[in-house]
Amino acid sequence: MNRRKFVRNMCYGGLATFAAPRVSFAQVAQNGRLVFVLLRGGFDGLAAVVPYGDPDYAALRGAFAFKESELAPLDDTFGLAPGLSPLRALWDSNELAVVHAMAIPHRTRSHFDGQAILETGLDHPAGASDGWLNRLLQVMSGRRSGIAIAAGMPLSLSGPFQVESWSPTQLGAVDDAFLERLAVLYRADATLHNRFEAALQQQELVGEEPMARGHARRGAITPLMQAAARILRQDQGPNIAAMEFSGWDTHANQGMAGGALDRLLGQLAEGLVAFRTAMGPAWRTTTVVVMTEFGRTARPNGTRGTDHGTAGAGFVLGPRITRAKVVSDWPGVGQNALFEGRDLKPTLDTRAVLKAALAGTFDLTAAQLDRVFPNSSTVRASSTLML
Amino acid sequence: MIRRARPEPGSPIGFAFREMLHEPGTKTVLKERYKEDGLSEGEHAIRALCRHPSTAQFVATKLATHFISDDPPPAAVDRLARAFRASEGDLKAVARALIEEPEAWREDARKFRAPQDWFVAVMRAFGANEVNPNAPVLLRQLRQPLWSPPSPKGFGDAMQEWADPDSLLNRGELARTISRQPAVAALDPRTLLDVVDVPAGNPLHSLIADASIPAPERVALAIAGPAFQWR
Repeated sequence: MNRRKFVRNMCYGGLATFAAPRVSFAQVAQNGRLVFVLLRGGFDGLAAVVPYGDPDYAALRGAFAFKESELAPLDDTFGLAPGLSPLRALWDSNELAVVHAMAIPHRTRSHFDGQAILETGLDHPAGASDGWLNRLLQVMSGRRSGIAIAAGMPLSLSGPFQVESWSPTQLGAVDDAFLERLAVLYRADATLHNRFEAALQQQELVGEEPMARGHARRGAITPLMQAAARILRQDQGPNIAAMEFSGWDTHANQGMAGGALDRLLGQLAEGLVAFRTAMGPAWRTTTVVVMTEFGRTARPNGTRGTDHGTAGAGFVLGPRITRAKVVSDWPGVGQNALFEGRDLKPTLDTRAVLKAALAGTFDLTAAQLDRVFPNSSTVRASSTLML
Repeated sequence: MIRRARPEPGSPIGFAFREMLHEPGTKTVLKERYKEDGLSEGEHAIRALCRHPSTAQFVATKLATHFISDDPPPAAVDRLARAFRASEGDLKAVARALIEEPEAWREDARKFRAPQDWFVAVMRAFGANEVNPNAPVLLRQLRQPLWSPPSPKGFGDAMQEWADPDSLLNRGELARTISRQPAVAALDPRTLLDVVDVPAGNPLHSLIADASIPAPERVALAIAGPAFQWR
């Protein structure tokens, strides 16, 4: 029988021979949580998850080639950049998978188009479209709600299914009396009333802690991820979230160990670890997917950086993955293996990874997944990624 | 064609034709072929684009959406598009058609104020003569950084884009902060009723009249409240 049925029957039977208790799939489907983290700008996958074991790597990257000793090795081929070393703990507990040589289904070097495709879940840039997370909310049954934990409303969550939002501000807190009076005014506006009430509820959920509101450094990753965890771990809170961070478009002075990109990767890694800690028991049923619109050029440019590329890397985190692994049909980085002679060649569609992450976190049929990603019936969910 | 950043005195502002950079040969735009003709080919192509039926519709829809409603009445869009076509793209004529458009004057037509709209309305309500030097920072906090839309398409102005719950709270917080500034704290809250459109019986009336609430807070509530979020 297949693995899913086996796990379900084990739980119904009540007898466990595994060392750690397994969550039955039925439980996950109801309590599943998904967080989609978009790193805007195209982060350099080759500098984050380094193919040090590829014989052509050092020559290709020249001055940007890491030495194996600088990396936290994942296996014989790949190692994590120094900044990402906090993620090693998640790798060791089988809660981190890397996806590599992955790209959106459309070739573009435009941030706008690339992000649009990643966020709409389509295979081409479209004038107007819902985001795929909003489509997911439309397609799911049962209790579900979405939240943008970001300064704006990411395209991925935009659409007819109404979602919430939260972000820290630096405007200084307002006192409760003011908010109550404001609430009275909003009750008289039929259109805006619910939205204001939702904002107040969100405010309550996140709490009064200094890092929750008012004092978080704008863009700082860890406080934001901790606030996100506080929101998401609620039993009846939102179960689908979108977050975004920028600063990844490293055209100049990208740096090596301890350099600009590496420090940003460090913040990301710490943020993800902090998120997992802050989620507490709710982490069991949570999946985090980290993606970017494209990778970067294989060779450094003239300003000690890299330019927009094609395939790159991503991360899938959470106890719902099968085990720690690098999911990739690695094309190699020899000159003949590159895309257009300059980029890592894509061999994995972002939608295949997203479909797998969704199927492993929620109870969704293949038909539902095809509705979340229109025109994707030929794109099969990555089969070895999730339980 | 290139655009001049600083026009030389006497020269046309905006565009200049640079022969050396001009691509020679025949070009095809929207299935029309344009023979090599220097500056004229660009002018012909632009004229053809203006005459394209989609153009009138696109411009009319954008104007109607911005000035009338997120879901503009088709009749209004049609009239604007007709004005565009009849005048061969004369935007002044289209603007006049917009002003004369009855749908634009309906009492119940309203648009949610994008952050910049709201901010300017607040400054006007306070009788400010100059822009607050903190404006760029404040606009960034409101998530509409000045001159920095996320894509070449520019900022949208639909309610869907700006009226998310957290944004409403954001504006409330900003209103509270602004109201503490001395110039604003000295305002008579009743003047705010001149610029906010609320029917009799709306709670804003009794709130403004409530002298037990400090004046600056009443001012803040007036501009943070829902009535001030619409135009």
